[in-house]
Amino acid sequence: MSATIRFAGVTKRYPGGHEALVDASFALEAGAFAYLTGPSGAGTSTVLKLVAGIERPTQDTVLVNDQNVGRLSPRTMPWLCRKLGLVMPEVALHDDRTVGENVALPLEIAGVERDDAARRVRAALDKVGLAGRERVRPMALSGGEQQRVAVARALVHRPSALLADEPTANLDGAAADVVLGLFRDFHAVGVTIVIATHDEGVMARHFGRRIALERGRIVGDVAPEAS
Amino acid sequence: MRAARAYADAFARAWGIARATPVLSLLVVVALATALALPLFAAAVSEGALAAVGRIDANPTVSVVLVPTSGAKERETVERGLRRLPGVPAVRFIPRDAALAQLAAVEGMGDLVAGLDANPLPDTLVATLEDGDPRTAADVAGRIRTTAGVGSVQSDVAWVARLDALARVIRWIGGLLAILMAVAVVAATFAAARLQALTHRKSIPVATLLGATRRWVARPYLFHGLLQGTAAGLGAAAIVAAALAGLSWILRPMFPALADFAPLPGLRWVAVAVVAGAVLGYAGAWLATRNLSSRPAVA
Repeated sequence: MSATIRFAGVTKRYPGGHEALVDASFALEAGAFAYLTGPSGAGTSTVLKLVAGIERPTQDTVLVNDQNVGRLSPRTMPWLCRKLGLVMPEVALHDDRTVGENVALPLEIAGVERDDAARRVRAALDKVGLAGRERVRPMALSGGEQQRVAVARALVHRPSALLADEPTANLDGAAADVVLGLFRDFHAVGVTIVIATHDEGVMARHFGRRIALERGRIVGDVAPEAS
Repeated sequence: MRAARAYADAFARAWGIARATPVLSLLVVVALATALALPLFAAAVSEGALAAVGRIDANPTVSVVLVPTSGAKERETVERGLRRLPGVPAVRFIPRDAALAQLAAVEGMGDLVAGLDANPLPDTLVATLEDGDPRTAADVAGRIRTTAGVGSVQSDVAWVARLDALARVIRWIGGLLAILMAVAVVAATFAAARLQALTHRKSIPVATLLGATRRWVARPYLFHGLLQGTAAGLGAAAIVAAALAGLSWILRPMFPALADFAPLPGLRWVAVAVVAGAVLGYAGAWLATRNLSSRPAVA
């Protein structure tokens, strides 16, 4: 149900020489709840992209459940993706699908039976406060509502790890707490949660391990008990 | 069960592609149907012509026309000579009076025959050949032509051979058209599938990040190609049926015997058109989707 994530001296260098991540090492045990925090350009999003396989490390390895993500074949990569829940700009909502169809997409891909999928979609939308909005197109929703649809889609297939890049960016305080509460619920049943954010308020209200980055380097790693 | 559901979902998404781009899908079907109809029409015509030749070839003959001055003795000599030749199982004598009577029986010829002062027709011996091989006919004709009392020799095998050759040429052209049109069908389906995939270029990487396999991404386009090809096959059969009906309508007043030489496409032809369309449509879509990335873009 939960996933382990390990970075062992990972460097990510983009064409042109920009180093988004430099010699980063950390380990998240199964069921961890961690924030990646730092100013813009610190490399928090790059960490999430490397875990999701959107980017490949230039140097050394990223392990998810002891599998080297950078070396997964095109055949095996989808099976890793199905274990992840992604709330990231790269995983935008489909404008040509309704909200319900968007949330159902991971279930459709996994081959979940239609009635079961419909029930789970309704439940997921209910949890993010969008019950009854299945037939609406994402374009008709506000930015915050779209963010909540993305959260529902990331969690509907019960992933073993959730990777969220600024999931509360478009949400007011109450809505952010609803989403973080939802993440907490999934964390309570063993899902590994990794959130890239610079929202101090969120981190203050919802304890978790903080991995601080600056210019691609890890500059702090604080366990939840000490925060 | 899960596999069956995956295929059913893929068919539903394929139908969704068709519904999302109805004009493009329809135009592709029309283009494919037209391309498939050309070789199918040539095949139907050549098969009809070859069948007609086969029917004519059932009793190939060589007609030996005797000179007007020949008597019974010369006729018997020629008839004996014919019967001795290899490949001639039967010889039939048509007396000039019987030939004139036959001519008079033809509609519109009675008055003309009645107006004749004398019977202008010669006695004729008709040799039935064992086969429709033009060489047998030429051999028989060559050997009997020099016999005393023979005026001229005519063979119906030569024009049958020409018709046979013409039918084979049509069949060859049909085969060539089939190859060229198969390439055209694959190219058209390829272009359409590629265009439709391009319209989803934003959603494909997202689906991939959510765990979609290459098959999951490609399958709706493959099934859409399959559906287009199948519809085009049915369309081609309909076009050929219409064309053959038109051909029959044109031929009937002039050549009633030839009007039905190429019958409307039967189930076999419809099946050939549908299977060919489906296979070629699928092949075009397969070529178009085999490079669709199943991995997220990597730097």
